[in-house]
Amino acid sequence: MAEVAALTRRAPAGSDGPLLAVENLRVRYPMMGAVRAALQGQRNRFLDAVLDVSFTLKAGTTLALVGESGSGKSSLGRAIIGLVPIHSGYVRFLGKEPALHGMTRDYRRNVAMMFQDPVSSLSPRRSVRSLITEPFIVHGLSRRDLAAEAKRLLALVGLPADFASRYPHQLSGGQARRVGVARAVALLPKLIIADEPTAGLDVSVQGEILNLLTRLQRELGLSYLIITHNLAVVRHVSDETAIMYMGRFVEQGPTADIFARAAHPYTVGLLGAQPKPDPDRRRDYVALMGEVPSLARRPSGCEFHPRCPHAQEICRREVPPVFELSSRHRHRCYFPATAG
Amino acid sequence: MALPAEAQAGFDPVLQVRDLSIGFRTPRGHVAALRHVNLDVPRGSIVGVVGESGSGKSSLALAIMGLMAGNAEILGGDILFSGIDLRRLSPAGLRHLRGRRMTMVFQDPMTSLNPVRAIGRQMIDIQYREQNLSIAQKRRRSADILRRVGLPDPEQQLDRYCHQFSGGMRQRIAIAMSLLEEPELLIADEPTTALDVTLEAQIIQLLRDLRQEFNTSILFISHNLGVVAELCDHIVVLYAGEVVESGPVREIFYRPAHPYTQALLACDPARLDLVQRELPTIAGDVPNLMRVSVGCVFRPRCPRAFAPCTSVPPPDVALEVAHQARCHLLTDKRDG
Amino acid sequence: MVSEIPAGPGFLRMLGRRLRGDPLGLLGLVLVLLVIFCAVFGPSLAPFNPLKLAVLDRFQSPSWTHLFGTDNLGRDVFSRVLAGTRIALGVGGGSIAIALSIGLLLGLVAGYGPRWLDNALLLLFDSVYSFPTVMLGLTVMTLLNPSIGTLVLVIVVIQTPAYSRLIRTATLSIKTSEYILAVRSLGASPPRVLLVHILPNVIGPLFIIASMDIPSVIALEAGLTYLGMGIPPPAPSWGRILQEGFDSIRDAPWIVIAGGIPLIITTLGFTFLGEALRDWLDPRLRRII
Repeated sequence: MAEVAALTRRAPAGSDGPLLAVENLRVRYPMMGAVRAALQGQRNRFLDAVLDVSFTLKAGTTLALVGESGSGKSSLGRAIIGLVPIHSGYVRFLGKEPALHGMTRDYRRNVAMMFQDPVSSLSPRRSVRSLITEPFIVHGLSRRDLAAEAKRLLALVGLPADFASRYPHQLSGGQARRVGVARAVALLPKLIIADEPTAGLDVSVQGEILNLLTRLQRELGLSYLIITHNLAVVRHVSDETAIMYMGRFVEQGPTADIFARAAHPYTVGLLGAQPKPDPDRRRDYVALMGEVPSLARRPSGCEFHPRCPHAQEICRREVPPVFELSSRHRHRCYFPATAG
Repeated sequence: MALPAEAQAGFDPVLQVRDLSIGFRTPRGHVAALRHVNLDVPRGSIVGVVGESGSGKSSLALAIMGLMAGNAEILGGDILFSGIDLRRLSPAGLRHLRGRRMTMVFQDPMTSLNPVRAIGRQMIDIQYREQNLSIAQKRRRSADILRRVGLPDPEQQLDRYCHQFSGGMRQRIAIAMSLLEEPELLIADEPTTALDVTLEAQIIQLLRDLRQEFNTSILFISHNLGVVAELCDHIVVLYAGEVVESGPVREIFYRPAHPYTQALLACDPARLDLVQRELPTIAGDVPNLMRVSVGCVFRPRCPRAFAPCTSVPPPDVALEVAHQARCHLLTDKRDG
Repeated sequence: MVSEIPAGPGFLRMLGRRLRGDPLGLLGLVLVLLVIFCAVFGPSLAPFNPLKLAVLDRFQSPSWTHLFGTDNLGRDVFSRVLAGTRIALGVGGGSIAIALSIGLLLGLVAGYGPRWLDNALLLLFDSVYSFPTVMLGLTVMTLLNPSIGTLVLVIVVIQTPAYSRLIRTATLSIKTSEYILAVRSLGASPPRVLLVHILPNVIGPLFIIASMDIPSVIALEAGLTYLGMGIPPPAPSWGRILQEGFDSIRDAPWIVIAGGIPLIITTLGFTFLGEALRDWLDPRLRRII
């Protein structure tokens, strides 16, 4: 296919380096205006949604970002694609920094995003045809035969061609999700950031969508950054996993290592809290008591210490540095559950 | 009215749904949302209704509460609550039961709590039937129940508003409010779907503790097999408006009989012991409930469908005590 | 870009199907079409010149020659009413169309643009909004010379803030929705986001409100003219017909009645049609169809 040829021509020159490298990224939101902060005598009028996050993603692989709501995982995804501003740190794509020159066209073309809600991430008054061919129009490729492109994309994601004339409210959750996938792969990007790709889907449909993503990864050489809270799914679909808590990566490494040798107590708790679909196995209820604190009142030292069963004096005082269990398995805990 | 056989045998269900059918009128035609549904909630038990979207599980909950949408109607069957026939009850009689003897917790507590009234005010309001209690006493009762659902400093929390609480706390408050009048039946419609797993675990634990404490029966509606497995005693599997299988939780999870139940269990990635990139799915789509076929409703997606499935409605086959499934394969097995 | 908005024929077919099930809406459509027909062909259908004086024929009661009778100057009231339709619809429809366009633009800019611009525009809308309508109209009409242009200006100034606020609020609620984020993540430019994705979702309610405003604007024109502040004589506006009719209500009551009937027809027509449109454009209702 001509498109695939075009893709290989755009393939990275130095393909041995990582596709995406994120270094010490920080995303902060203002809580209040400067005037109000001055009036109320608030010194800190910002909250950090993403704090000191670093990772690399190799081409053709999948990284899962796991965390509870408020962990900053969505902010991180949105910062990478340029929907929220980066406060400090770097995002490098194929060695270049797109953020320096605004998010460039080329970068937008190579990085696509899928949003959480399958139906409401589609404009309600646009037909499926116009939704999936919109990337071509936005990127000035409207001279292509858009009807043919629509047909090709629908076939690629396993939808009948006559879906082109449907509207989002006429789609089931799974079908809407497929349309979202078609839209994301339209320009043959190198990286897709998928925010909760299976949220709101039934368990049988969830498998279909994940299988579709896996197939497209194989066929088109895609890389994924999957943002999710669903560890059961992560275990099967991702190569690497990062656990986020209050904006920080508390643990990251190969998925198998995270599941077999979780080091950070938060990871251990999160794994224990997963529902066990077996009447005679109970999840570990005591593992994670309480709730994630508000980002506006970030705990001192290790952010997890108020909920941590193993917290010591040092945890309350100092932010743990990054410890390496192996070259790829890292965590931020003074008293890890597994000592390597 | 003839009493069902179980009732005479000392069986004391809080809720009995008998042969219930519900339809929706839409401009495109009639949707047969629920067809001949049977369901029992024994006193003090937790019954899980499991189904995917479009299975009619929420319609069932709303029909029991008498809160159906304007275009929905009960086409047949009975709903008996502690022996009271809800379909023959006047609207006033139903209101008298609702909120006191049977209550409901919804998926999103943000939308089920009043945003402009303090939590305490709302909790005092729903005790309007207790005329011999003073406001102070009602307030104390409210604080007590908030403490029992695990809210710290309940006295202070009473003066706060819904938006000042986190999602998990809001759901605790909603549960507290639903238990305030110590109902016989609590209907929980996906109460943990909007919550993170860690909070979900806490809410499930809470529901289990409260069942012991209040002796409340719970009808727990969910699409999540994991949650149902750890909480429920008995499970009803709904598919496209029909109960395809029902039975004790261990029977359903260890010896699923209906091909749909088997497929549903097989799809859950948490049940796969080995890591696999290709996840199991159920081929095909949920059928259109405007044109329900004569035969088995699962036939178009069933890997083991054979001739009679197309033309003959499958019977409910009893397998074990209280375990039954609606499938032709099972009659064959039993006969052969 | 325009070609991507769902095609017109589909809309009309849908509208037709919808109206068949809604007799009041259908009546509204018929009345509005009648008014438009009169506005377009009225002058050529009029049996007499609406401005021609015939003092000998003054205050004739309705007859087959003069369907609505004649006024104090002997002018044929029926011809004047027909001719007035064009003025009424021109002033009403024209000024609403201008107010709609400006309101839409400002509303989108306020809703989607930077915070400071939003605040500035909001202050402007609220300042205009806080003036009593008739007082504002009277002031402007007194300062400038009464003419059709001035009248249109007054109506535009009065109506625009309401439309802008409506569009701004709708834009604000849509701009944080996932599908807007999705389009922005594709790299779409702000004009594209606004015109292709936000506009179709906010414009429905605006059309309805505007269609219901047309009769009240015509009534305002009539009112200002009645107060002597509207369209100067001898132009046959409905307001002027009413004003002159009131002067001679004892001698010739039919003039007031004849001047009032088209106003009632127009009001009912646009109101019924507007309500039908609102029902149809409500996505929850459309979803069922």
